[in-house]
Parts: sequence; C-alpha cells; structure tokens
Amino acid sequence: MTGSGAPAVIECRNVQMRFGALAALAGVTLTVVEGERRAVIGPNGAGKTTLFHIISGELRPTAGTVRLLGTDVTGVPPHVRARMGLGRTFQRNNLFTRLTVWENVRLAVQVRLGLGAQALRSAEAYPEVTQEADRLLALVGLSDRRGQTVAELSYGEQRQLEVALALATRPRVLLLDEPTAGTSPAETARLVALLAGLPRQITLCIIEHDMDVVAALADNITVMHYGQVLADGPAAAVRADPRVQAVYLGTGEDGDAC
Amino acid sequence: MSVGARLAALAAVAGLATLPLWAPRFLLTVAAEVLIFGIAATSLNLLLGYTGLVSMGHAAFFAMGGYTAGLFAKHVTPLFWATVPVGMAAAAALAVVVGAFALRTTAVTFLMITLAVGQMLYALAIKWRTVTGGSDGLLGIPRPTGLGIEMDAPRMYLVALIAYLLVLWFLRRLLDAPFGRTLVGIRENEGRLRALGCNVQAYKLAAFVVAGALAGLAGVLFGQFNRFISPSEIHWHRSGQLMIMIVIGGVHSLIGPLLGAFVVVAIQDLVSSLLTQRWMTVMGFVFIGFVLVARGGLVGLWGNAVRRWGRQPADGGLAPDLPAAGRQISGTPTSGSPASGAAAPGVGAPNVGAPGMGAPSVAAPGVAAPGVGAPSAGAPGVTADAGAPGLPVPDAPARGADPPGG
Repeated sequence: MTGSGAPAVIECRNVQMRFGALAALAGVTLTVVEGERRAVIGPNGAGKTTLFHIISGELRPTAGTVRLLGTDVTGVPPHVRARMGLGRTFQRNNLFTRLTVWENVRLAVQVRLGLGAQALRSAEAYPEVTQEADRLLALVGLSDRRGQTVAELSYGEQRQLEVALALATRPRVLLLDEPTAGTSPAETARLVALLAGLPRQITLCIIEHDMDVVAALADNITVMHYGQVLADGPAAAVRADPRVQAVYLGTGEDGDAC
Repeated sequence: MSVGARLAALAAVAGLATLPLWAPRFLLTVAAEVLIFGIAATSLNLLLGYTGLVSMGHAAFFAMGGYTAGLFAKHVTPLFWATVPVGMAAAAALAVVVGAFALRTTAVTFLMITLAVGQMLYALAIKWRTVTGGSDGLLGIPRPTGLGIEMDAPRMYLVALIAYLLVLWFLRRLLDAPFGRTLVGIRENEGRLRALGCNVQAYKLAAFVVAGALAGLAGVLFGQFNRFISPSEIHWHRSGQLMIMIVIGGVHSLIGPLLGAFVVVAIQDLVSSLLTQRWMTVMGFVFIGFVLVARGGLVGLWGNAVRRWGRQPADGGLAPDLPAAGRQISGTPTSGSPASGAAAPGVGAPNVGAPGMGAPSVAAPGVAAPGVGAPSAGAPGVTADAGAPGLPVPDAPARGADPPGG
C-alpha cells in the first residue's frame, strides 16, 4: 500500500461475491489511491474480473462495501459511477459492433457531454463531439478505420477502440480489464505507450497477464488467488514474495495455505 | 440528400397529395386507413427497430388514444385541436405508467409484460360497458371539427397524410439528433452505454412515451374517422399486426412500416373480398416468406434490387450503417458483414435512396394490388429522405438514386 497522503479513489472493504455455492470473492479489501498505477494479477478464476464488475457496479456484492472517490457506491448503478468519473474497458470486447468506429466514439463522447437528450439538432451539428472523437481516434491510432464497422476491425483494433471509448468519458479512475489480450506485439507496444502517457491525475487499475505490460505500467501489484488478495504492495516486493512465486510457478499447495 | 432524391420525395408527396383528385372514394378510405396504421406501425418501429424494444402491446396505446379522444369528442367537444392532444396525452400517460415497470425487464419478459398489459386493457374495455360500450365498441364518435371543412373521405385522407408526414418528419429529426443515436446505442449494446455513463432506463422510457403518444395520435384519427372504435383495436392481434407491418416493410427503416401497412391492408381487403375468411392464412404465408427470405422487408428488397441492377456500387468502403435488419425480433446478433445473406446487408440508407415508382411491384409480386398500387407507388420516394436509419451514410447512396429519379 502506498503510504503517501494521496486520497483513496477505490476502497473495497471485505467485498464478497457468491454465485450460489461458489464464492468468487471471499472478502477482498483493497485500496487504490489517486494517481496510482495498480495492476491486478492472478490465475484465471481468481476473481479479478468479478472485482472489476463490483467496482464498476455491473455486479452488486453479496457483502462488503465499495467506495469510489470517497463516496459509498455499493448500491449505486453503473451509469452513475461512470458519471462520477469511473471509466472501464471489458475483458471481452464490448462495443457497438454493428456501428462504425466513428459512431462508437461519438456515442461515448456524446454521453459524457450529456447531449443524449438533445432531440432537435442533428447529431452532426455538434463540433465539440466531432473534434473530441477525432482526437480520441488519433490517440488510439484508429483514425483511418473510422468508417469501418466494429465487426470489420481486427481483434486488436477492437481492443484499442475499447480504450478509446473508456477515455472518451474522461475518467478519473480507469479500470482496464486485460487491455492487451489478443493484441499483436506492435499493438501492445502502442497501447502501453498510450497508457503510460496518460496524465497522473487519472488513476489506473489494470488486470493483466502479460508481465512485461505490468512491469511497464504498474507501481503496485495486487495478486489475487481463489477470490482473495494474496499479496498487495510495490511491484518489486510482490514479485519477490514467495507465496506469489508459488502460485505462479506452481510449486505446490503451500502457497494456498498461507 | 441529393437533388434527385429530393425531387423523388417531392414527387411522391405530390402524388399522394393529389390522390383525391383521381382515385375513387372507397380507395381514399382504404388509403387513409393505410396511413393511420402506418403511423401506428412507424411509432412501434421507434421501439422495435431503433431502440431494440420488442413491445407486444402497442395497440393499447393506439386504442387509448382512440377511446379517450372518442369519449372526449362525444362528451366534451369533437374539436380536432382538442381531441388530438387529449388522445395523445392519454396514450403518453399510459406509456409512462406501463413503461415505468415494464422497462425494468428486458427481452422476452418485456414482451410478455407488454402483452399482458394490452390484454388487461382489452378486458377492461369489454367489461367497463358504461364508459367504453363494452364489446360493441364506442359508437357514434363525432367526426372532427375545427378544420374549417366538412370531413369527407378525401379530406380525412388528406388529414391522415399530413399527420403521417409530420410524424415522419418528427421521427427523422429525432433519430438524426443525439437522442436518436442514443436509442440506437441502446439497441446495439445497452450495457456498454450504461458503463459509459448513460441513464439507459430514462432513454428507454422517453422512447416508449414518444412511441405511445404517436400511436395515440393514430388511434385518435382512427376513432374519429371511423366514428367507432372497439376492443379489437386493443387485442394483441392488432399489436402483432403492427409488428408484421414493420417486418414486411422493413425494420430499421422509417418508411418501411407504411409500406408494410399498405401490404397488410391490401391483403386484408383484397383477399377477404375474394376468399372470404382466408386472409389471415394468406397474411401468414406472406409474413413467413418475408421472415425467411427478406429480413430487410420491402425496403431491403428494393435496396438489393437497386444494387443488383448496378445503379450503385456495393457497400464497399462505406459502412452500411445497419446491415442485416429484421434481426431485432429474433435478437440473435450476427455480424454486420456483407456475407450475412442475400437480403440482409445494407438495409440501411444505401437502399432507400432510390425513388419510388415500382417499389411495390419489385418487392411484392402479387401483393401490390392492381389499382391500389398508387398510394404506395409514390411512397418510397419519401424514403429517400426518411428511410435512412440512425447513422450517417452520406452521399453515395443518394447519388445512386439520381438516375431513376431524374
């Protein structure tokens, strides 16, 4: 945990999530402070995505509380959390598949600007939307793909569009669920550079399996295992933790016993 | 929209507007009915085609407008400028109430709840004899006054035409605006829109209320023109028929539902005069045919025909904004790739740019009745402007429309 005086932006207290008999999260307590770059790692099924769903409001925890930017948001619907400044991408591409790249980004920008209720002027008549959408497409490198539908993009390009949509909301906290899964090395490099270049006011929380990406981006690492936080702290310390090594190198069950 | 398309639209409207000058009287009555059901089906398509809400109780709003305005006309005043807002407001109010709880559910549950609400109101209209006239219906509704003219068949037709065009214009504006884009976003991926910060529920309710109010408008015209409205207008058969109109005409198209209304009314009138009670059977086969081979409806077929004749390049680099139409009903998302079947791709703007003459004859052999072709023959021209769904597919399709238009 960073000991600095930065305010906490995400605080999970003893968050539990049960799906029937399965405890996907068995009491997770986690604090991410402003400006932090936090990676959440762990084997498949460790509960990482479930935790993200709970932070963003997609799922409601069976127990525990979630605070976002100092406010208890445990029962608050996702769109309100998004308006508070929480942006996210999804593990599996979650886009407006039949619309064009351009329309996808425009929709996201339009939502942030609160223009959705405008029913009289043509949507094309909002230069602020157009400019912002242009900027975001250039940022993620999809400017020349704007006229294509999402279905026509490569998987990696869709991942980039995911990030563009999340950034369109101008988040203060950005949850990225495996942003580089399925991207080519070149696309990964581009994405990492993009994320590394984000201003420090934006807090990043990233689920990632690619340890190079984690090393490039994260200050701190949370390791999850079987729905619990196994280790939590500065990247180097976590890496050196024998329990983490046990989980990752599979040296037996003693790692779980702790 | 290109000059050619504009001219075509203008010609279509002019053709429709001059119908009373040459068409026989009974035809005008039928044409007015087509327009009225066209309004109702178009309003449902705002939900079905653009927001992705499959409502199976839309006739309830139609009838709510019709009954309320009918009662108002009987007991207060038949003044057109009063019955229309009263009927629409009643339908909108009903939509607020129904939407407030029905929209908490999705997909099949939503369909079932809207269906149930419609049937409840159907039962209410039958049982509450003192007010609604029970199963006899509400009789003796006065014709509208206040338009400065006696309401005869040609004039009622013209009023219905103006109402339809206003609805078309209004929805075109609505769908081009950020509001319409939001609805399309909801249809495409409401979860993601929510994650972006959009209060999806509020938009769904707004769409539901707008659609309800417009269906109410159709109901007002229906009741006052026929001087009669009965519980059968609330029955889910009517809701289903509106849906069939949309599928036959073309989901994701603004003009489609009117074409569908034309086909349904034509089949109903023609077949029932030739084969007595069999028109439902014929309707069923036509519907199945469209679902099987022409998911894009008449508008989609027309687009394909235009493409096949090479008047317009295939979708190419331009994104067909809403490829495969008609999918909303089954709810199975398929990829938007042009490979998804003959009728499917590019039901959106590219197809509809072309002007009208002959669309029905291309699209529905044997359905476009001889002599009855006129009302719809002009209609597709309006499409040039109105048919394009949510999103921009700028000039190319419109240019493609020029040769036949000019």
